[in-house]
Amino acid sequence: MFNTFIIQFDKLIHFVFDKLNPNISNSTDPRVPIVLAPDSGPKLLSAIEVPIEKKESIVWLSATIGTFVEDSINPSRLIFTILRGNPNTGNIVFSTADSGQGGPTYRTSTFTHVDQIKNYPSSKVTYYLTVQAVDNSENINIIGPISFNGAEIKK
Amino acid sequence: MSLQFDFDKLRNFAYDTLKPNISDSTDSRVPIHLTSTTGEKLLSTITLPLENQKAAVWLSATIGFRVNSPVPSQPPSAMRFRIWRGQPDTGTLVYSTTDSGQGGDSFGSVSRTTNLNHIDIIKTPCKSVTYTLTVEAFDIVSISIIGPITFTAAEIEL
Repeated sequence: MFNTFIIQFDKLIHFVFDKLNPNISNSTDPRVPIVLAPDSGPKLLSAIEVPIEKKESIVWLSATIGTFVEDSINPSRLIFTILRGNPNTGNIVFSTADSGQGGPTYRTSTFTHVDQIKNYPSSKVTYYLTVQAVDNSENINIIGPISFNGAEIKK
Repeated sequence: MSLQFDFDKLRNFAYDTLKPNISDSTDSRVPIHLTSTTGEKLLSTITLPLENQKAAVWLSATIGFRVNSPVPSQPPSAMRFRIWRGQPDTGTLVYSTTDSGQGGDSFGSVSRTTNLNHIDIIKTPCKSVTYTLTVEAFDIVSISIIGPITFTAAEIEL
């Protein structure tokens, strides 16, 4: 009988994700539509908890969000933000702006970021994805899809 | 007794981001101002170590930009994003795509986010591969690359 020693070289350590069900335009998931009225504040779209095993690791984050601008002659800006730790007071690790123009306009926004973590004081880290509408004269609706995923990769 | 090495499908990962990687980042690499005459501008370069003789390299990028036109009815402002294996012009063009933003108005300018995805197949054995991400604007008044800029490459075992 042979003994086998298996030495594993894992690069992709963890993968977590969140999505609507079904993850489609005008989804019937009760999480949508999320209505962004003029002058409203940031709204939470999704949160994912990534287990952190190493003192130093990198987390590859990506997200896709489907929006519908009811009516906008003026550019209606959506600011997407990823925060680490807390949806209000956490560190902003990423933000980007996307616009819809004309009425009505459908827009799909996709983005990626790599967050580097050193000596994080917990065995897991939560990322929050938020959106805020700026300069919109009418409502902007988040209608789906919403995908948010994080992959922890060993350095 | 036998010894078995078990490797992930994901063999290597390389990335580059602005610091901080946000809209209107304070990173000195941005803003990058583009006009119809500024030509091809470098956004990011990454070098990925390779373990396998044949590999699939999954490339992805995110770029945030602002169209500075003050007139909403201005024609759409187009930009071509390219990924070169190696350096621009001397390397191999492996991917390109074109995206547009339309002019702003008195409320402000139009901000857009572009995301790119591509799989590059490496068939020639080499220890590493460098990819260069560039942007070139045409038919525009003025566009600024303001952040974020994310560029990633993952070696996947075929």
